[in-house]
Amino acid sequence: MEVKISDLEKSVEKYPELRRGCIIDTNVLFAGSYPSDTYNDWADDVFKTLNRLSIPSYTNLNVRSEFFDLHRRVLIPEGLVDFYDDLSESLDGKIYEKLKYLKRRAKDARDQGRPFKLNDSEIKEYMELLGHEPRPEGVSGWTAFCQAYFAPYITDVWEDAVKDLKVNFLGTREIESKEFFDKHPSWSNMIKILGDSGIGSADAMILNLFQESKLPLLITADKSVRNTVLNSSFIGKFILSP
Amino acid sequence: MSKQEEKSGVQKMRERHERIKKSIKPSKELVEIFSKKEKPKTKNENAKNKVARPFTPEAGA
Repeated sequence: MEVKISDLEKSVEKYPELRRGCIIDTNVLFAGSYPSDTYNDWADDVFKTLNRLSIPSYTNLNVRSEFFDLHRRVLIPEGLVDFYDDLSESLDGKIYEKLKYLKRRAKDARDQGRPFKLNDSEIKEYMELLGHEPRPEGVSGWTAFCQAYFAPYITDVWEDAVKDLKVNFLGTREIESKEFFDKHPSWSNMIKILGDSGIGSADAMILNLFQESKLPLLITADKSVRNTVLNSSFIGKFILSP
Repeated sequence: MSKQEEKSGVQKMRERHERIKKSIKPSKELVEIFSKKEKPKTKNENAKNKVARPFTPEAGA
Protein backbone atom coordinates (compact mmCIF):
# COMPACT_ATOMS: atom_id res chain seq x y z
CA MET A 1 0.00 0.00 0.00
CA GLU A 2 1.25 3.45 -0.85
CA VAL A 3 1.32 6.38 1.58
CA LYS A 4 2.44 9.97 1.08
CA ILE A 5 4.40 12.06 3.55
CA SER A 6 1.55 14.60 3.82
CA ASP A 7 -0.80 11.78 4.90
CA LEU A 8 1.58 9.82 7.11
CA GLU A 9 0.07 11.05 10.37
CA LYS A 10 -3.42 9.94 9.29
CA SER A 11 -2.03 6.65 8.01
CA VAL A 12 -0.40 6.01 11.39
CA GLU A 13 -3.75 6.56 13.13
CA LYS A 14 -5.37 4.05 10.77
CA TYR A 15 -2.45 1.59 10.75
CA PRO A 16 -0.72 1.87 14.17
CA GLU A 17 1.79 -0.82 13.15
CA LEU A 18 3.54 1.92 11.13
CA ARG A 19 4.93 3.14 14.45
CA ARG A 20 7.22 0.08 14.52
CA GLY A 21 9.53 1.86 12.12
CA CYS A 22 10.71 2.18 8.56
CA ILE A 23 13.62 1.29 6.32
CA ILE A 24 15.25 4.27 4.61
CA ASP A 25 16.45 3.68 1.05
CA THR A 26 19.80 5.09 -0.04
CA ASN A 27 18.39 7.85 -2.21
CA VAL A 28 16.42 9.28 0.75
CA LEU A 29 19.46 9.34 3.01
CA PHE A 30 21.46 10.84 0.15
CA ALA A 31 18.76 13.45 -0.56
CA GLY A 32 18.77 14.46 3.08
CA SER A 33 22.52 14.79 3.23
CA TYR A 34 23.32 16.46 -0.11
CA PRO A 35 21.86 19.99 -0.41
CA SER A 36 21.69 20.07 -4.21
CA ASP A 37 19.70 16.87 -4.55
CA THR A 38 16.31 17.17 -6.26
CA TYR A 39 14.57 15.67 -3.23
CA ASN A 40 16.43 17.59 -0.52
CA ASP A 41 13.35 19.51 0.63
CA TRP A 42 11.16 16.41 0.43
CA ALA A 43 13.71 14.52 2.54
CA ASP A 44 13.57 17.36 5.06
CA ASP A 45 9.78 16.84 5.31
CA VAL A 46 10.27 13.08 5.65
CA PHE A 47 12.78 13.21 8.50
CA LYS A 48 10.91 15.99 10.32
CA THR A 49 7.66 13.99 10.11
CA LEU A 50 9.28 10.73 11.26
CA ASN A 51 10.82 12.60 14.17
CA ARG A 52 7.54 14.31 15.08
CA LEU A 53 5.60 11.02 14.97
CA SER A 54 8.40 9.16 16.82
CA ILE A 55 8.72 6.59 14.03
CA PRO A 56 12.20 5.04 14.18
CA SER A 57 14.09 4.73 10.90
CA TYR A 58 16.63 2.07 9.97
CA THR A 59 19.26 1.46 7.36
CA ASN A 60 21.86 -1.22 6.65
CA LEU A 61 25.18 -2.09 5.07
CA ASN A 62 23.86 -2.06 1.48
CA VAL A 63 22.50 1.45 1.94
CA ARG A 64 25.77 2.63 3.46
CA SER A 65 27.78 1.31 0.53
CA GLU A 66 25.48 2.93 -2.06
CA PHE A 67 25.40 6.15 -0.02
CA PHE A 68 29.17 6.57 -0.28
CA ASP A 69 29.12 5.88 -4.00
CA LEU A 70 26.39 8.46 -4.66
CA HIS A 71 28.32 11.05 -2.66
CA ARG A 72 31.46 10.22 -4.62
CA ARG A 73 29.61 10.76 -7.90
CA VAL A 74 28.49 14.28 -6.93
CA LEU A 75 31.30 15.49 -4.68
CA ILE A 76 34.12 14.72 -7.12
CA PRO A 77 32.63 16.88 -9.91
CA GLU A 78 31.78 19.58 -7.36
CA GLY A 79 35.39 19.47 -6.15
CA LEU A 80 36.72 19.55 -9.71
CA VAL A 81 34.71 22.71 -10.44
CA ASP A 82 36.02 24.36 -7.26
CA PHE A 83 39.55 23.24 -8.17
CA TYR A 84 39.08 24.87 -11.59
CA ASP A 85 37.80 28.08 -9.97
CA ASP A 86 40.74 28.21 -7.58
CA LEU A 87 43.55 27.36 -10.00
CA SER A 88 42.23 28.04 -13.50
CA GLU A 89 44.96 30.54 -14.37
CA SER A 90 47.73 28.07 -13.66
CA LEU A 91 46.24 25.01 -15.37
CA ASP A 92 47.62 23.82 -18.67
CA GLY A 93 45.46 23.88 -21.80
CA LYS A 94 43.95 20.40 -21.83
CA ILE A 95 43.07 20.34 -18.11
CA TYR A 96 41.78 23.90 -18.33
CA GLU A 97 39.48 23.12 -21.28
CA LYS A 98 38.15 19.86 -19.79
CA LEU A 99 37.38 21.47 -16.43
CA LYS A 100 35.84 24.51 -18.10
CA TYR A 101 33.50 22.15 -19.98
CA LEU A 102 32.76 20.26 -16.74
CA LYS A 103 31.81 23.53 -15.06
CA ARG A 104 29.40 24.30 -17.90
CA ARG A 105 27.78 20.85 -17.53
CA ALA A 106 27.46 21.43 -13.77
CA LYS A 107 25.77 24.77 -14.42
CA ASP A 108 23.35 23.20 -16.91
CA ALA A 109 22.41 20.54 -14.35
CA ARG A 110 21.92 23.18 -11.67
CA ASP A 111 19.76 25.29 -14.00
CA GLN A 112 17.62 22.21 -14.61
CA GLY A 113 17.29 21.64 -10.85
CA ARG A 114 19.12 18.33 -10.73
CA PRO A 115 22.34 17.23 -9.03
CA PHE A 116 25.35 16.87 -11.31
CA LYS A 117 26.72 13.32 -11.17
CA LEU A 118 29.63 11.68 -12.94
CA ASN A 119 29.65 7.95 -13.61
CA ASP A 120 32.61 5.73 -12.78
CA SER A 121 34.04 5.85 -16.31
CA GLU A 122 33.95 9.65 -16.31
CA ILE A 123 35.62 9.83 -12.90
CA LYS A 124 38.41 7.59 -14.25
CA GLU A 125 38.89 9.98 -17.17
CA TYR A 126 39.48 12.83 -14.71
CA MET A 127 41.89 10.60 -12.74
CA GLU A 128 43.92 10.24 -15.91
CA LEU A 129 43.59 13.92 -16.76
CA LEU A 130 44.99 15.11 -13.43
CA GLY A 131 47.52 12.24 -13.30
CA HIS A 132 47.01 9.21 -11.09
CA GLU A 133 50.49 7.70 -11.47
CA PRO A 134 52.67 8.28 -8.38
CA ARG A 135 55.30 11.00 -8.82
CA PRO A 136 58.88 10.54 -7.51
CA GLU A 137 58.57 13.77 -5.54
CA GLY A 138 55.23 12.96 -3.92
CA VAL A 139 51.63 11.93 -4.43
CA SER A 140 49.90 12.07 -7.81
CA GLY A 141 47.99 15.11 -8.99
CA TRP A 142 44.71 13.22 -8.61
CA THR A 143 45.56 12.15 -5.05
CA ALA A 144 46.47 15.72 -4.10
CA PHE A 145 43.17 16.89 -5.61
CA CYS A 146 41.16 14.28 -3.67
CA GLN A 147 42.92 15.09 -0.41
CA ALA A 148 42.14 18.80 -0.79
CA TYR A 149 38.69 18.84 -2.45
CA PHE A 150 36.97 15.50 -1.81
CA ALA A 151 38.17 13.96 1.47
CA PRO A 152 36.90 16.84 3.66
CA TYR A 153 33.33 16.17 2.45
CA ILE A 154 33.32 12.38 2.43
CA THR A 155 35.10 11.89 5.76
CA ASP A 156 32.43 11.52 8.45
CA VAL A 157 29.53 12.18 6.04
CA TRP A 158 27.91 8.86 6.98
CA GLU A 159 28.39 9.37 10.72
CA ASP A 160 27.06 12.94 10.49
CA ALA A 161 24.07 11.91 8.34
CA VAL A 162 22.87 9.05 10.55
CA LYS A 163 23.38 11.19 13.67
CA ASP A 164 21.67 14.34 12.37
CA LEU A 165 18.89 12.49 10.54
CA LYS A 166 18.45 10.10 13.50
CA VAL A 167 18.74 6.90 11.49
CA ASN A 168 19.53 3.57 13.20
CA PHE A 169 21.78 0.90 11.73
CA LEU A 170 20.65 -2.70 11.24
CA GLY A 171 23.88 -4.63 11.69
CA THR A 172 24.45 -8.38 11.94
CA ARG A 173 23.18 -8.53 15.53
CA GLU A 174 19.91 -6.78 14.64
CA ILE A 175 19.42 -8.93 11.52
CA GLU A 176 19.82 -12.07 13.67
CA SER A 177 17.35 -10.60 16.16
CA LYS A 178 13.69 -11.65 16.26
CA GLU A 179 12.91 -8.07 17.22
CA PHE A 180 13.32 -6.91 13.65
CA PHE A 181 13.17 -9.99 11.42
CA ASP A 182 10.84 -12.93 10.85
CA LYS A 183 13.31 -14.56 8.48
CA HIS A 184 16.93 -13.92 7.66
CA PRO A 185 17.37 -12.07 4.32
CA SER A 186 18.53 -14.64 1.77
CA TRP A 187 20.32 -14.69 -1.57
CA SER A 188 17.54 -16.81 -3.10
CA ASN A 189 14.88 -14.27 -2.16
CA MET A 190 17.04 -11.39 -3.38
CA ILE A 191 17.54 -13.16 -6.72
CA LYS A 192 13.79 -13.77 -7.01
CA ILE A 193 13.15 -10.03 -6.53
CA LEU A 194 15.89 -9.27 -9.06
CA GLY A 195 14.52 -11.78 -11.59
CA ASP A 196 10.93 -10.61 -11.30
CA SER A 197 11.71 -6.90 -11.52
CA GLY A 198 15.02 -6.36 -13.34
CA ILE A 199 16.06 -3.74 -10.77
CA GLY A 200 19.69 -3.37 -9.66
CA SER A 201 21.15 -5.90 -7.23
CA ALA A 202 21.70 -3.27 -4.52
CA ASP A 203 18.03 -2.26 -4.72
CA ALA A 204 16.99 -5.93 -4.68
CA MET A 205 19.04 -6.47 -1.49
CA ILE A 206 17.30 -3.55 0.21
CA LEU A 207 13.90 -4.89 -0.87
CA ASN A 208 14.89 -8.34 0.40
CA LEU A 209 15.79 -6.80 3.76
CA PHE A 210 12.44 -4.96 3.79
CA GLN A 211 10.43 -8.04 2.83
CA GLU A 212 11.95 -10.23 5.56
CA SER A 213 11.85 -7.56 8.26
CA LYS A 214 9.06 -6.77 10.69
CA LEU A 215 9.31 -3.12 9.70
CA PRO A 216 6.16 -2.24 7.73
CA LEU A 217 7.32 0.84 5.83
CA LEU A 218 9.96 1.50 3.17
CA ILE A 219 10.77 5.10 2.22
CA THR A 220 12.35 5.53 -1.21
CA ALA A 221 12.79 8.24 -3.82
CA ASP A 222 13.42 5.62 -6.51
CA LYS A 223 10.42 5.08 -8.77
CA SER A 224 11.60 1.62 -9.84
CA VAL A 225 11.84 0.48 -6.19
CA ARG A 226 8.37 1.92 -5.50
CA ASN A 227 6.90 0.18 -8.54
CA THR A 228 8.60 -3.12 -7.69
CA VAL A 229 6.97 -3.08 -4.24
CA LEU A 230 3.56 -2.17 -5.67
CA ASN A 231 3.87 -4.89 -8.35
CA SER A 232 4.97 -7.64 -5.96
CA SER A 233 3.58 -9.55 -3.02
CA PHE A 234 4.79 -7.35 -0.18
CA ILE A 235 1.81 -8.30 2.00
CA GLY A 236 1.13 -5.93 4.87
CA LYS A 237 3.86 -3.59 3.73
CA PHE A 238 3.71 0.14 2.99
CA ILE A 239 5.76 2.26 0.60
CA LEU A 240 6.32 6.01 0.85
CA SER A 241 7.82 7.96 -2.06
CA PRO A 242 7.68 11.54 -3.44
CA MET B 1 14.66 25.05 23.30
CA SER B 2 17.91 26.32 21.79
CA LYS B 3 18.31 27.37 18.13
CA GLN B 4 20.52 24.34 17.51
CA GLU B 5 17.76 21.99 18.72
CA GLU B 6 15.22 23.64 16.41
CA LYS B 7 17.27 22.90 13.28
CA SER B 8 16.24 19.83 11.32
CA GLY B 9 18.74 17.12 10.51
CA VAL B 10 18.62 18.08 6.83
CA GLN B 11 19.33 21.71 7.72
CA LYS B 12 22.35 20.60 9.77
CA MET B 13 23.62 18.60 6.78
CA ARG B 14 23.16 21.64 4.49
CA GLU B 15 25.20 23.72 6.90
CA ARG B 16 27.84 21.00 7.14
CA HIS B 17 28.22 21.04 3.35
CA GLU B 18 28.46 24.83 3.21
CA ARG B 19 30.96 24.94 6.10
CA ILE B 20 33.25 22.42 4.37
CA LYS B 21 32.90 24.20 1.00
CA LYS B 22 34.04 27.47 2.55
CA SER B 23 36.97 25.84 4.36
CA ILE B 24 38.41 24.04 1.33
CA LYS B 25 41.50 25.49 -0.25
CA PRO B 26 44.17 24.02 -2.52
CA SER B 27 47.10 22.49 -0.66
CA LYS B 28 50.63 23.74 -1.25
CA GLU B 29 51.42 20.41 -2.93
CA LEU B 30 48.44 20.73 -5.29
CA VAL B 31 49.43 24.27 -6.26
CA GLU B 32 52.99 23.11 -6.96
CA ILE B 33 51.82 20.21 -9.13
CA PHE B 34 49.49 22.30 -11.24
CA SER B 35 51.33 25.62 -11.33
CA LYS B 36 52.52 25.82 -14.94
CA LYS B 37 52.29 29.48 -15.83
CA GLU B 38 51.66 31.96 -13.09
CA LYS B 39 50.58 32.31 -9.50
CA PRO B 40 47.11 30.83 -9.05
CA LYS B 41 44.13 32.86 -7.98
CA THR B 42 43.19 32.71 -4.33
CA LYS B 43 40.01 31.13 -3.05
CA ASN B 44 38.54 34.54 -2.24
CA GLU B 45 39.16 35.85 -5.73
CA ASN B 46 37.20 32.96 -7.13
CA ALA B 47 34.52 32.66 -4.45
CA LYS B 48 32.00 34.49 -6.61
CA ASN B 49 32.26 31.78 -9.25
CA LYS B 50 31.48 28.92 -6.88
CA VAL B 51 28.38 26.81 -7.20
CA ALA B 52 26.50 26.87 -3.91
CA ARG B 53 22.89 26.12 -3.15
CA PRO B 54 21.12 28.85 -1.19
CA PHE B 55 19.43 27.65 1.96
CA THR B 56 15.97 28.81 1.09
CA PRO B 57 12.94 26.54 0.70
CA GLU B 58 12.28 28.13 -2.69
CA ALA B 59 15.68 27.14 -4.01
CA GLY B 60 15.00 23.44 -3.55
CA ALA B 61 11.44 23.42 -4.81
